[in-house]
This record gives sequence, C-alpha cells and structure tokens, in this order.
Amino acid sequence: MEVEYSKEEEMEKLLEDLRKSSVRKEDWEFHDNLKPIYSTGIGLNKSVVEEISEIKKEPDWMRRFRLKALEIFLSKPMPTWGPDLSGIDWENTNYYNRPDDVKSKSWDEVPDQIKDTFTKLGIPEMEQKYLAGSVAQYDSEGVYHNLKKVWEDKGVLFMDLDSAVKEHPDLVKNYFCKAVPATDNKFAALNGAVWSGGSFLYVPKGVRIDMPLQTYFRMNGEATGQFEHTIVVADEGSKVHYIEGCTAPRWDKDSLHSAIVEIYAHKNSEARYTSVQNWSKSVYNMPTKRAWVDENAKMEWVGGSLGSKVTMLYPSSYLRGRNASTHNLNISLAGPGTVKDTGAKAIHLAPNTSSRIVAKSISIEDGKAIYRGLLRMNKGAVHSKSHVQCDALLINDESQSFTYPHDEIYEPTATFGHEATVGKIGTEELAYMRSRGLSEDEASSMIVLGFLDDVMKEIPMEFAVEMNRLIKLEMGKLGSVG
Amino acid sequence: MEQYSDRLKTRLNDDAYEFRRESFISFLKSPVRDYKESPTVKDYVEISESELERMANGEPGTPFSFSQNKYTGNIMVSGTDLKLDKSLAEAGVGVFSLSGFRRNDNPELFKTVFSERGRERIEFLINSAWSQGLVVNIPAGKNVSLTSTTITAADESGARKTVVICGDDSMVEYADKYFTEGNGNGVQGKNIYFILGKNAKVKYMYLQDKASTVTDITFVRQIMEKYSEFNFYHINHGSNKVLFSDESVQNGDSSDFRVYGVNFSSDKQKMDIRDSSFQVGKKSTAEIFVRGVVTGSSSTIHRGNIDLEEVSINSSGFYDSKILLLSKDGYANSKPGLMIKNSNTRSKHGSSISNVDPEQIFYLRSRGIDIKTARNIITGGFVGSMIERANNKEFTDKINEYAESLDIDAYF
Repeated sequence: MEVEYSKEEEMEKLLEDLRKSSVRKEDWEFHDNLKPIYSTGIGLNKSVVEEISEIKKEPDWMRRFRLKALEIFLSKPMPTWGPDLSGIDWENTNYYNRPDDVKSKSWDEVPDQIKDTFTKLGIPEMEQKYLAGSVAQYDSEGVYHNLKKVWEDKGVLFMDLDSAVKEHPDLVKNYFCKAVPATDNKFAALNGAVWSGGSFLYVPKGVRIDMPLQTYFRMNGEATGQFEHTIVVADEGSKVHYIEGCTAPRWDKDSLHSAIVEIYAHKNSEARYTSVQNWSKSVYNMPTKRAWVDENAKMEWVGGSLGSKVTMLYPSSYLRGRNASTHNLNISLAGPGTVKDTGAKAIHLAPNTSSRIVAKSISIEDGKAIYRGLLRMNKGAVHSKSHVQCDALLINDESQSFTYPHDEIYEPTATFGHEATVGKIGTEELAYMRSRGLSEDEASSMIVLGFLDDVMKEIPMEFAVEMNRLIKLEMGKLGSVG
Repeated sequence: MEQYSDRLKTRLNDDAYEFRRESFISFLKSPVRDYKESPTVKDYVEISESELERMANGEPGTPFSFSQNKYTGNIMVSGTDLKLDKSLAEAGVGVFSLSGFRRNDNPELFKTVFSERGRERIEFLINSAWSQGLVVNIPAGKNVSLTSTTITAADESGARKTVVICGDDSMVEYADKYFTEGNGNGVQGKNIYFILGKNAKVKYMYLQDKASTVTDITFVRQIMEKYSEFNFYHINHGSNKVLFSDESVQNGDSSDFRVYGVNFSSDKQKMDIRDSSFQVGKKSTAEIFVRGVVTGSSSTIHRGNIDLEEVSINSSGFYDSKILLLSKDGYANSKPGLMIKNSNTRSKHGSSISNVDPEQIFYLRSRGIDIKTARNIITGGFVGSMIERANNKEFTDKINEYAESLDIDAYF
C-alpha cells in the first residue's frame, strides 16, 4: 500500500519530537535532600586526609602518598596566570562526603534516592542501549559499577578506583600518579591528598572493545569538592573508548571539582576519551588530564565544556614512542558570567609523531573564552608534524575571546602550523541564507552548529544530541538558535 | 636599582625630571614578568637586573673611529656626536639632540615629546634613564625622506630615546640603522616613538646589525591618529641578545598599521621579536608579518598580540609568524595571541615553524644548483619577500647579503 506523504503531518511529528526532547535547566540542576552518611566536615588538614585514608581502609603506601601530596598542595602558590580563582573557599569546602555504604553491581541495590537521580539523568537507559559498562559516582564515592560479562571474561577491569586499590593493588600502583604526579600543579596535589572515587579501566593486550564505557559523576552537596581520580590503561594492541559525563546542582556557595585523569596508551593501542562536562554555574572546574602515548599508539581527546563558573582544562598528550599520534577536539561554550580557559597540550618526544588540535569556542553575552595551549617538539622528534587550529565565535557585543598558544620547536625536521580566527556570525553569511528563505534565527542556528561541526561529528551520537540541545538551550535565551 | 635612584636625584635640574621620575615609578610598580606557564623558562630572552642596572647607569664606551664611506645617512649619530645634512633644514625638518632640549625652547613640542611613557617594564626604565636621544620634527604636510645611522662602541652601555613627530598629512620615509664599532658586551637600550598626526603616512625601515657580543633592547611604539598609516620594515641581524618589541597604539579611527619583520639568529644569539597591535580606534586595521631564520645553536621567539579593545568596532587584526628552523641545535618558538574584546571585529593569527621544503630543494637541485646554494636561495626568497616591499635598495641588498652568508647545517 502506498503511504501518502503529508508535509503537515511530518511537521507535526517533528514538533512533537522537539516538545518531548526539550531540555530544561531544572532537569539537571535539581538537588536531593540526601544527607551523607559520613562527611569529614569543612576544611582541610592532616587529620582530614588521614581520616579519609582510614575510612577507606587503604594500604599504607596510599596513606603516605596522600600526606605527601597534602604537603605539596600547601606549599604551592595559587596559579595567577589564568582566570581569577579567588572565589575558591578552601576553608569552607567539604572535601569528603560519603552518600551511602553500598557499592553495587546492580541498580536494584542502589539506594532509591540516588537511583532516582541517575534515572533522571538517563544513565541506566543509556547503559542498556549502548554501553559496554558504566560506573556512577555520587559526591565522593562510586555507588554503582557494572561491566558486561563478555568483556569481563576477556579480562577487562572496570570499577571505581577505590575498589581497584583493594582488589588489584599492584596493577594500580604501576600507574597511579605516574603521568600526573602530585608535584605537577596545586590542583593535582590537592587531588592526590583527598582523591576519592573515579574509575579504573584496564584493557588487556589485544582486547578491542567496540562499545564505549562510561562513568557519570554527580556532585550533589553545597560547597563540596569532588576529587575523583581516573586511570585508563589500554595495553598493547587494545582499543577502548571511555566516556565521562558530569553534572551538579546549582547552589549559592561555590563547589570545586579537581579531578585527575591518566591515560596510558601502550604500544599499538587506540584510546579515545570523551567527556561532556555540564557542571552548574557554581562549580570551579580544575581537572588535570594527561595521556602517555607509546609507539604506534593513537590517543584521541574529545571534549565538550559547557557548564561551570570557571574551567581550566588542558588535556595533554605525551607522545613517547615512534609514530605515536594524538587528536584533540574540543568545544567550549562560555555562557553569561563564565570563564572557559581551555586548550590542549601535545609534547612530541619521539620521531614521526603527529598531533592535531582543533579547539572551537563560543562566547555568549559577557562570557570569556580563552584558548591556552602548548605544543612542544623536543630535539629528536624527527619528522614530527603538528597542526593547531583554534576558532572562536563571539555572539554578543560584550563577548570576549583570548588566544594564547605556546609553540616551542627544538627539532629542525619537524613541521608545525598554527592558526586561529576570531569573529562573529558574518552578515554576508546571514544575508545569503536569508535569501534562501531561512529566518534569521534558523540561519544563525545553522551557522553556529556548522561552526562546531568538525568536533560534533566525532562525539558519540547520543552525546552529540545532548550537546546540541545544551548549546541550543544556552543560546535559546538570546533567541538566536533553536 | 638603588644606585639608579641616587643617579635620578642628580637630574633634578633636568626639564624632563618629572617625566623621568614618573617613568621610574612605573618601572618599580611593574611586576617582573615570569613565564611559568611554559616549562622552558630558560629559553626566553631574559635581561637580568644587573644588565638593566648597567643600561640605566650607563657605561662609556671606548673611543672609536671609522671610515666616512662605511656608513651613509643624512643624520649621523656616533657616540655623542650628531651630524646633520644641510638638506634637512632646507626641507624644514627639525632634528636635534634630546638631551639638549629645554622646555622653554618650544613648550608645545616639549609636551608632545614627553607625552608617552610606554607600557612595558623595561620601556619605563629606558624612559627614565635615557642619556642621549633625538627629536625629529616633521611639520604638517611635508614629504620627506630621512636616513639615520647610529654607531656606538660595542662596550658602551646606556639608554637612548628617539621621538619622531609626523605632522598632519605628512609623508615620511625613514631608514634607521644601528651599528657598533669595536668589541665589548655593552647593554644598549632604546625607545623609538612615532607620533603620527591625522592622515600622516610613514614608511619606517629599521636595521640592527651590532657586534655579536652586545645586548640590544628596543621598544618601538607608534601613536596613531585618525587615517594615519604606518608601514614598518624591520631587520634584526646582530647582537648577542635581542629584545625587540614593537606595538602600535591606534587611537585614531581608520588607522592602518602594517609590519613586515625579519630576523636572523645564528651562533648563540637569542632573539625575542614581539610585534603587537593595540587597537582602540574604530575601523582600524593591523597586519603583521614576521619571518625568522634560525641557524647555529641560536633561538628565536616570535611573540605578538592582536589586542582589539571594546570600542574598536569594525576593526580587524592579523598576525602571521613563520620561522625556518635550519639547524639541529637551534630553537624556535612562537607565541601569537589574540585578545578580542568586542564582537564586531575580524581577527586571525597563524604561525608555522619548519625546515626548508625538500621538494623545493629537489627542484632547484634538478636545475643543477648545489644544495647549499639551493637552501640559501629559498631562505633568501622567504625573508626577501618581506623587505623587498619597502623598495629600498640598501635594505634589499642587506637581506640578500645576510641570506647568502647563512651557515645552514640542518639535515633532511
């Protein structure tokens, strides 16, 4: 039977879909009235660190490591070269909150209130549909982790880091804080002292996981800190795609997120790390993310930085082996009143290594988008290649964009290129599209999404849909997009 | 700097004392820049406090002599001597020594000469400590061509200040060359300020080829009025350490600033070449092209900001840096920056660092040219294209001479 095509019906269907999918800020800015069962209270000192180590029943080496990191944290000055961080209230931040005693492999065992939160955020649904495994973290502790049996049988380990320290101490010790030592920066030292939760993912030699694995971080408390530490190890010849998502409710007092992500891509492996960060506008987001990339290995960073009050994030790749390569794709959206100081680093330490960095930023109203990156080619990185591209789009008159790349080349056979552009939506582009029958809103929407397209197409579809929605939501207030 | 404060007090009778004192206070207030964000702090051209002190306090150089044919110019400065060609006075151009300039000579001009204190820490110090200098006053509507040659003893340390005032609607072509005689490791600082009136058009060519033991610190600043145009061609070849900073101050609407810069670093030279625009006026444009050639175990850093202020609507800025890294012990670094504070603008930057393209070498070799000559030809074309635009034979010849004498040791 021939189906009759009706344009009106089609439109009606589309509109209905849009209505259903409309995202509201409240969808993730809600907060639970859940009292943590354990908290170290506000402030940070030696006894708080010892207390965290004590309740986690950690081995002695970890306790000593935490105390050393605390010393380093206290001795390091605040970085002053970036955005204003004076709003971080060290004294009144809560460094450890335990939501519940349960660490579960089944959703049914997760406490109802926490389960509801993650259900609202759509985690179990996503897991069923397209994930190989997932970990959920609520405040300081992981509350759920699961890995599909097929991967478990092949020796893949995926759990929260606290469990890994207990169950696989030698393996963890091999990698813990090797790429990001506590001496790296003040926030890495802080994480070293009070870290809690995060994921540990180990993919054995030759295992190629074709579905992504995901961790979802949720910060619920007011004026709290979340300090997860994630380690991803892709052993020789393996392949893995790891995804992180983050949200937090909006509070009057600012919260702090200072994570460490360490990725070890061994010989011939492929690792991809995707993160979509949508912290609320009361969060200082200061993670340190770094990958060690060995011979013939391939590392890809894909990032969407949408929320938070201030973000300072520069995922870096240390290309340590011949033919190692890295791609870094990043979108950052500096909404009203926020500062996004983001960028990327690629350090070429071996011959024939290559890197490509694409950073796109959008500044809305008085949002400030900053690209700050480092590209370094050491002597001996012969015939290495790199290309850095950063583009910025300014939406309103008061929007601002800054670009500070640092390019350091010590190797004469290396080839390096950098380009950056800053501009607003061109009137000529708009005029052209309007002459094709699009409204001004539709035209600007198309231009903005087209501007982001290079990065968007690299993001897994479900996340791309979420990001598209979030961008439309941020910009929708201006009536320009969506 | 305590010694310098005492020295400043001895200049109480100087008409420019207020200016010197204010500049010194600004120097003291400016933080010492650190580059902690970069792991290679040591590679930046660092001028130590003791070097600054030597420059500020001044050290006289060994007397020297040179053959009259060696240097040319209608303004000749050697040590403290100033020789002017008669043609300048005939053309109505006022050129005189800054140290002999009194307020009562021309209060209006005095005010203009000392109107700009700069923005950088060392620039403030030079403004406070200068002992010699030049005022070039080009009246409105004049069309003049000037060639200035400054020769100092290589062991002389000190600070100079040059102010060039280009009146409304004037057209100026100014070739400015700096050399040293003898040996020594003097620390020589200079500020060169251009104050452009409405619709003034300036072509400025700068050449620095001092002895390879000298530390050269230069700040060039252009204060630009409405519709003014500034075309700047600069070559840095000599000195051991070079800190060269050029920044426009485009206050006027529709001002146009263009820079074509070239630097050659060889042996153990360290060069920090900064070209920036600071755009305030509406519809202002800035286009900056810088090329560097690195040989030996030298280092070159290109830095440049395009700074578009909130009010500079409909303005555009472009910065482009390219460095040829031709040696296995050399080092190249680029730090272009965009600081865009309003959305009604267009700005871009690009930078690249690489060796000579092997395909180009191959092409030339297939035409029977040996590899060394081929590399020199390509390098010559790379830098020559910048300076040839100035259409000045002396500068073009210099560039070719420098390119031909390069010692390229890179492997492919």
